[in-house]
Amino acid sequence: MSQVFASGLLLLMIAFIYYNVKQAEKGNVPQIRELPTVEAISEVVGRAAEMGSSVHYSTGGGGLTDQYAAMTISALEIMGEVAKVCGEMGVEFRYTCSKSQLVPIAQDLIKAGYIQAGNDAMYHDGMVVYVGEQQRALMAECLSYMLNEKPAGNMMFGAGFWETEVIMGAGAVVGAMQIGGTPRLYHAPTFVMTCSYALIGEELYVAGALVGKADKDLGAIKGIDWFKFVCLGLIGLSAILSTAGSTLFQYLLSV
Amino acid sequence: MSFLKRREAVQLTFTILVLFLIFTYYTGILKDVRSDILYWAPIIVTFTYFIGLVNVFKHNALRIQRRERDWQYTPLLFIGFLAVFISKYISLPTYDWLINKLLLPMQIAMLGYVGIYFFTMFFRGARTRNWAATILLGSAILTMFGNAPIGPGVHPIFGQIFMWIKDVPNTAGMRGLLIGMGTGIILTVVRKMLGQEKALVVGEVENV
Repeated sequence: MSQVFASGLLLLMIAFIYYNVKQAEKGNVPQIRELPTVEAISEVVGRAAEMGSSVHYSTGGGGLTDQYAAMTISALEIMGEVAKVCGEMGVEFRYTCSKSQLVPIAQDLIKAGYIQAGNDAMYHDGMVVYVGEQQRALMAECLSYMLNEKPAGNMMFGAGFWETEVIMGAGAVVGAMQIGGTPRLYHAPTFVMTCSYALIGEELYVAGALVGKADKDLGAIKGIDWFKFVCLGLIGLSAILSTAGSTLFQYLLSV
Repeated sequence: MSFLKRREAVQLTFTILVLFLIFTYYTGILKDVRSDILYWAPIIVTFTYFIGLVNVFKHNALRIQRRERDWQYTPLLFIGFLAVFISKYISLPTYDWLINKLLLPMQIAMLGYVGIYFFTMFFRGARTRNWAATILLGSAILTMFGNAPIGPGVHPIFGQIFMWIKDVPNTAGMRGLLIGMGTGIILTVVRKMLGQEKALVVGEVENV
């Protein structure tokens, strides 16, 4: 029964998103509160421009073929926006990754960002640095870059593992302005402690949708907000019914 | 542009595959086909290792050419690559020695940094300015004190406070975040299916 119940909820959520996207297309664009972290992107890049320094970006150890793919996709979306702002302000961008599948995608996104900003002459393939598939290699490369180049801005979004402590810690040591975030709960405290602005939990996915500020994206965010109200309603209803002795939710969640 | 390189072709392929995977997950029909499809991703990724290798060589060759800072260490990368690559096919004992006696100790040394950063992170947290980080720091101190033998030894209430933090605000917060994360993942997938997602599209540069 749980499979039927879960698939029903999934379809309901997709319907909510689809409906709100269509509404946004018709002009009913919802108002979404700004995420300070997203707003701070231009602040970080602006600081790098003033200091004549660079901006470092990492998506952590997550790839596109594992359970962290959605986090990496959102992080890549944010990276595209950061690259565009870097292009507008004439700032050198540097992306370090430990997944080979991200290399061509990152080069494509960064190049697109610089072209959109009208600064395609500044782009070069060396902006993307692949260090091999080892997490320790990612740590070492980022540490080396931070201490040698001292970038004015450091950003890390996506699936953060133990490299988070090294990358964000090194950024804090060299005095970089930092923003970042991960839905991975183990490393969220590191971002809270080391970043000027941090994303926690699902905010990363929302930020990924929010960076372009397209009407359809805002509609999609409203769609998941509707679904969260359904979740809250179900939690409340299950608490009341279970307290009253009903076994309805046990039946709905039974395998 | 050929059809295969167009955004619509990628979009269509992705959407059909996702819908098929969701269908097989919930119905159990064609489970074997689903497993086969899920194997495709690692196979495709294997080809991207070559792109990564080219990137590593190009980046480091440029470092040497431009005489960038500490470029003298860069040839070690090429020597290391060749040593591991050749020894793997010529002399397995040499390969094992390179991995176990050189690579592993260096990796462990790198991991040692994490411990140091964790330790210094605590002091950085102590310098935080916002109220959320202050709460985090306070709960971290109480959790550590409650977990260490000295805490409950001084007074049993420290153990009780630790258990309360772990079971009540921590669990409640984590469950709330997990619901949000689940909905966020579905948001990303649905946006991709609707063609709204901006990353991972073929020829993004051409579309600018």
